Amino acid sequence: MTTTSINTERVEAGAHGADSHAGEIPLITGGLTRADVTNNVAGPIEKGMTGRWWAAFAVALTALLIGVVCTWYQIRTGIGTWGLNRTVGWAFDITNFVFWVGIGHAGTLISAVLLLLRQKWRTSINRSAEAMTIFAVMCAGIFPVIHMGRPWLAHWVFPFPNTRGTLWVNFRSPLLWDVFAIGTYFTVSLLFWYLGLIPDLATLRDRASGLRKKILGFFAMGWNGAARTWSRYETACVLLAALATPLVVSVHSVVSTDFATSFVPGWHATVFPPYFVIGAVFSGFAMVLTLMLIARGVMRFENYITMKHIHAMCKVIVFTGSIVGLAYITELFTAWWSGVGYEQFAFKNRMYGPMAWAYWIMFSCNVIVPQFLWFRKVRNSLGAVFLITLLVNVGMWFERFVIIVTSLTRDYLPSSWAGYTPTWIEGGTMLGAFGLFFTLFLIFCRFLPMICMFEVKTVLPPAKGTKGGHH
Amino acid sequence: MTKPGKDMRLDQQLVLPLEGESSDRRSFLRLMGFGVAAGALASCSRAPTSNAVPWLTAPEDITAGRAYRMATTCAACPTGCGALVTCKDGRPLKMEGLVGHAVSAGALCAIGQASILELYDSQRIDGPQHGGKEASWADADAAVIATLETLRAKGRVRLLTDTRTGPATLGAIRNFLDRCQDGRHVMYDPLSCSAMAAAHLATHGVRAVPRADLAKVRVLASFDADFLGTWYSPVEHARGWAAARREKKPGVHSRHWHFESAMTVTGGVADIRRRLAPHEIPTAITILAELVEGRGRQGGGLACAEDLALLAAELRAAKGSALVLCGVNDSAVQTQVNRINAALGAYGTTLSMESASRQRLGDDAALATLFGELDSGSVDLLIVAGVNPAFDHPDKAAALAKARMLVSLATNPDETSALAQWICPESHFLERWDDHEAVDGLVSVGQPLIRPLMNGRTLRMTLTRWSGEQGDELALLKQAFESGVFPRQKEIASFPRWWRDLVHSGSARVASRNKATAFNAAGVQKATHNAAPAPGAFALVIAPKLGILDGRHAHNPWLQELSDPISRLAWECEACLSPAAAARLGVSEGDVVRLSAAGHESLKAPVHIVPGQHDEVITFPPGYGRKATERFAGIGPEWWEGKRTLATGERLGSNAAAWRGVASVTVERTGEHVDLATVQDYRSLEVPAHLAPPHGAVRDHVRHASVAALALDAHAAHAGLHHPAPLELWSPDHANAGPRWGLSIDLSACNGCSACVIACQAENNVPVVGRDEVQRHREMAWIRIDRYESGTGDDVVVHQQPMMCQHCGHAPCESVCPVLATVHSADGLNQQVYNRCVGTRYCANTCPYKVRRFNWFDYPHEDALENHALNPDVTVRTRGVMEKCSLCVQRIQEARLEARRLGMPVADGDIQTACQQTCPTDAIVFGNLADPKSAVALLAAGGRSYRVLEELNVAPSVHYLADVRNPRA
Repeated sequence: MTTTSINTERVEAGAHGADSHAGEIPLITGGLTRADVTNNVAGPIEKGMTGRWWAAFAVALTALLIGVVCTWYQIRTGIGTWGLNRTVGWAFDITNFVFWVGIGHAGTLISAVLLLLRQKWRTSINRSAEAMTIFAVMCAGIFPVIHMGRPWLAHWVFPFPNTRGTLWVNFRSPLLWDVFAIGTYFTVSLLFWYLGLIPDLATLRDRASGLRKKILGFFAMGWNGAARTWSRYETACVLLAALATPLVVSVHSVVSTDFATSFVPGWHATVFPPYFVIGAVFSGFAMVLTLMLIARGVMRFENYITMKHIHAMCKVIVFTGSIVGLAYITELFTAWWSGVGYEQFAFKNRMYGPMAWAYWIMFSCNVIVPQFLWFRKVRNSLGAVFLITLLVNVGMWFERFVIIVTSLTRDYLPSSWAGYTPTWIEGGTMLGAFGLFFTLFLIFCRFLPMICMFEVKTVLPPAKGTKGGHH
Repeated sequence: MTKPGKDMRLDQQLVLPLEGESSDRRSFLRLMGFGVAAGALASCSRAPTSNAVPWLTAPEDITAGRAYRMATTCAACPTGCGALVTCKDGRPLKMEGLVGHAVSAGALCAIGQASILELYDSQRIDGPQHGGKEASWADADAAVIATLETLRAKGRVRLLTDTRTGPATLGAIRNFLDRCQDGRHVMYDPLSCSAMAAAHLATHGVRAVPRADLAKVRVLASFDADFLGTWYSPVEHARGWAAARREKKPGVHSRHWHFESAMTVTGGVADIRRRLAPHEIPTAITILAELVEGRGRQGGGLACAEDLALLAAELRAAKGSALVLCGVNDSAVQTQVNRINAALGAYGTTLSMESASRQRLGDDAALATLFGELDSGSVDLLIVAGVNPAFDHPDKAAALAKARMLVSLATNPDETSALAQWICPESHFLERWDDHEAVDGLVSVGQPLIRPLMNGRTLRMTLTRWSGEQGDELALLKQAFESGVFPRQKEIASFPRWWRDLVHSGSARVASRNKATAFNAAGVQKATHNAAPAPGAFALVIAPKLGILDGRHAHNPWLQELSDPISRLAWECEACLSPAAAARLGVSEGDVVRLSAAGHESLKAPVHIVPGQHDEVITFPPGYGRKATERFAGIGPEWWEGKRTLATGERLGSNAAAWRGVASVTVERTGEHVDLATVQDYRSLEVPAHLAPPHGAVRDHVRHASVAALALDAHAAHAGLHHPAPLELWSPDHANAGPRWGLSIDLSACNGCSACVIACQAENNVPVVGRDEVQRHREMAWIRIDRYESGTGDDVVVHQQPMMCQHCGHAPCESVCPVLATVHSADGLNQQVYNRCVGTRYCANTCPYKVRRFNWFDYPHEDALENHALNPDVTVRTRGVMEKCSLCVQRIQEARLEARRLGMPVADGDIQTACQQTCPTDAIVFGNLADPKSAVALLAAGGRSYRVLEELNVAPSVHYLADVRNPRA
């Protein structure tokens, strides 16, 4: 979704690019025409819900409702319904928060950074990836609210003029930075995503009738496809892309300061901001790939999400996964080099302590498993890729769990060391977040074009019998 | 007037009805407002009324909301410590040590601190009962007097009580029994010192337990006497013990040898501790006696023979300031102890027979005689007060029922009152006039601080009525004192003046009626080496737990939730084994074992492993197995996965009373396991070896040194520790005229007695959360006593470290709170603003000391009566907020306001935190660190001082003084 991508020159360059990669997998296969693209993407939306969709939706909604019930119970009864204790004040809540924020990163990266890097393959996946970002940030945003002892006072974390005298928020608190970082991120992502939807909404509007047409027309904001409209649209997109790009780095850097600025051995590390950002990209790409593989099968998008896309994303995963591995080793090195006994203990405790299993799940899923993606054979096997992306997400969830929980269980005074066991309520809340995510994603799949039609059309190989990519 | 009760919620008593159940700020204020008003009413009426009305005619000397303090005597046990009770608006709220009292000298133990809660126990028996039905005092008196009339000439009347020392009480008892042809008063103590008294009868001709002055002792040896924890006068002994160790100089600092089978708080702080099986103690004492007398006998097959020889040499060298204590309830052994003490010249110096202790007057022989009479069914009237014989001697419960008439004076339903025809409850000691003579020549009175909340009567009044006499309680007491006690002193000629001084100061000295008598060697009996437990079997030691003791306070939730200083368990009745013994049995922490012995129904208990316990010994605590009341059933939050602490009628643990005297038990695994409710999982400063960092596995949170090392280098405790000087972000030129409050905690004085923990609980409205929550590591105590153990066998070293909010100058918690709910005050306090807290728990995560406590639930405050124990100066925290030690900010504020009113600065020592006030060893000192002349600043500047984790540059305000022991070089 970019302004420049509909530039004729670039389309030719794209076509040239496709040519130069003759013999390789093309970006869009099946010799599709632009009309085919519109039909393939808009068709399922217009057809209505299928049985498979309903089945998936029922599962997701059930999970969401379980989460709602658990959260309601927790807010009504007390945080004590979670397995936390005086030593471990955060566990599933903040683990899930960081996990979901991390998941969201891929969307922004794909729409902003890959755009800057001129990776044309992103066109088929950026819409879904951005939707994923928004839903993931929504899931993430729930946890800092419900993890509060008194969530009904959550608005106190916003610095607004109030009647409570001079009482203000604490600008030194990383939790407050989170409020701003996540708030900004969500706002920009939502705007960016919506802006990108407008031309496609107009396409849908033009194909619809009745009330549907009116609703789509409202959201399409009177899009008329005129050159002037496109021009203004391009300007707005450039501005938002410029705003979104630093967020890729800033959001997770800020989230990491929740830990890095704190005193807990295992949290107090300067490597955290880049380490968290790359971990987020890593987990985000894994999640995008998981979803794309499902969508590809279910929605019959094989021609749009081709092996080329899968290969590209696999390469990003193996690259970022290796950096994550490097970060793990750096952490160990820093602990050793620091000469601080508490830090050294914290890392030995992670690896060999009572919760070592979590560390080794993390390590094997995040560092070892992605290495299989070096092999073309593995990348070609959709089953293997799917499994690896799932494992990466498991591993990344455990990364946050290890950082948060294992570090907290054993810090300075041995007298206060404690374990942690989650309760069913906590598990239900986590399930609920997945339920929310998939519920929203399924609604998205059914009501909005999953693939950015107008952008995909710019990267179509020149159809036979036409003279090139002139629109 | 309506009586307060469990069935009546506080908010229902409000003029304005509350909506819903939430406790937001408004309803909280409403509750507090009501509490104050209701408390005010409580002082002028029998109980709070259902309408809150203004105080139209205020009592002359009471200002609403202003604390006033009254001296009284703690009667939670017969030790007779002086107490100063803080009252507000007519409600006694907090017991503190009474400064200047001859026994307790300003401190109070955990049980004394907790006894205030028993005043507001809605489960107390409210008035006489006959066959389970409520009756009036007139009916009860008539029934008992009618029975007495028939018995006067030839019936057997027996009064069974715990130790009662008050001259007026004993006079009333005599007066009552003298009216019967065959009336006798039997006293017994469930934790008996009867053998000590009997031994002194044999060797000194006086049946008395001597009073030990540990402050004068330079060399102290204790054999199974837990004198700092569960013995007959722990506060007094702890004070003396600490005084003898205040000067950290070789030759001045006392040396404390400790020989014991189980691990006790006293053993934990000893200089030299050796394990001795119970059956070896007679031999060890005998050998020591001979060695001390210079007739050296070696060996005796004891592992500690060499130590005994060294000890004997030290004791002999310190004649006149040496003392041997023994907690074994065997009169032959005790005569041998007397022999040693006589040889050491302890009588008249460190031991006093003239002003002997009267804190344990119980006589086991008299009790055995009484049981014999009961067995034969020849007792016509048995009156039981202050003891629970059906629980302490479960095998005699049937015999008790054989008494023709059994009258129980129990305050709470117990095993004995269940057998009684009549229950004529005693009042709580804070509701009554009371008298004590805890030590010969030291009389003290207890004065009522509130009109009785329950319809009870003192033993003294009950017996006076049953003697057929009328009269006012106070008038009779004064009369008894005027005729019986006042003449024993000569200083003050006017009785009213003397009485006023006595009531005002709580105690007075009068002439002792005991005479010091010479030691008579002929009374010494041969202490026989008891049989060792059979191979593979264990010696059973019934070891009382501090806080629960004999179980008389087992219905007090504060004491049940007090984590034991040794095992760190709460709400548990645990059997303790040494690591070697546990390995031999193949059991680990929490595994349930079965104890069996011939003729006894087997006992089951979960195992707790204690390093330093004798390998052939299993301990079992007394005082457990009491039936839980409704009070316990309601404790702790109720939620889906939550487990009830105890259901009504369920028993917490098992009663081991019948096992007293069983020497050898077989112990076997049952295969069951319970997750014990512990507040401390990891008990060592040494991290597990496989996780140890390269520069050493031992953390330096507790620093320690020997007296000898300190003599050479005042900073010896910090040897080998290199912590770089922390960097300051701010230049030190920032003007700060105000105080900086801080604490100093002397680790060498702390023995883990936990009085501070309960004091804090009472002062700061710390909720009780129940067993399940403790097991989930959600205990709420603001001050805890960390216990660190190292070594094995005889070489176990224990350190206790009280830990509370360190009020860091650069507090990590303050910078992370998003809503500024925890901030720094100008006078150096780290403040928690409950109103503002949204409960992110970030502050608790980042706190390196883990002293912050979170309100995971709304803890029940449904017992309207119990709520009257809440301190109105301290907020009751709602669910979802963080809390922690405030350094008793309400006390600081009170002192500052008072100083401002008087136009004077707050003087050093004007403010005492609750934990400091009650500490028997003065381990805790509060004050202004910014004033270089304050006691706390002087201590903080001393060579032993350090701050835990100071290398983190959090600038804590709590200074610790390194633990100091005085081992042999």
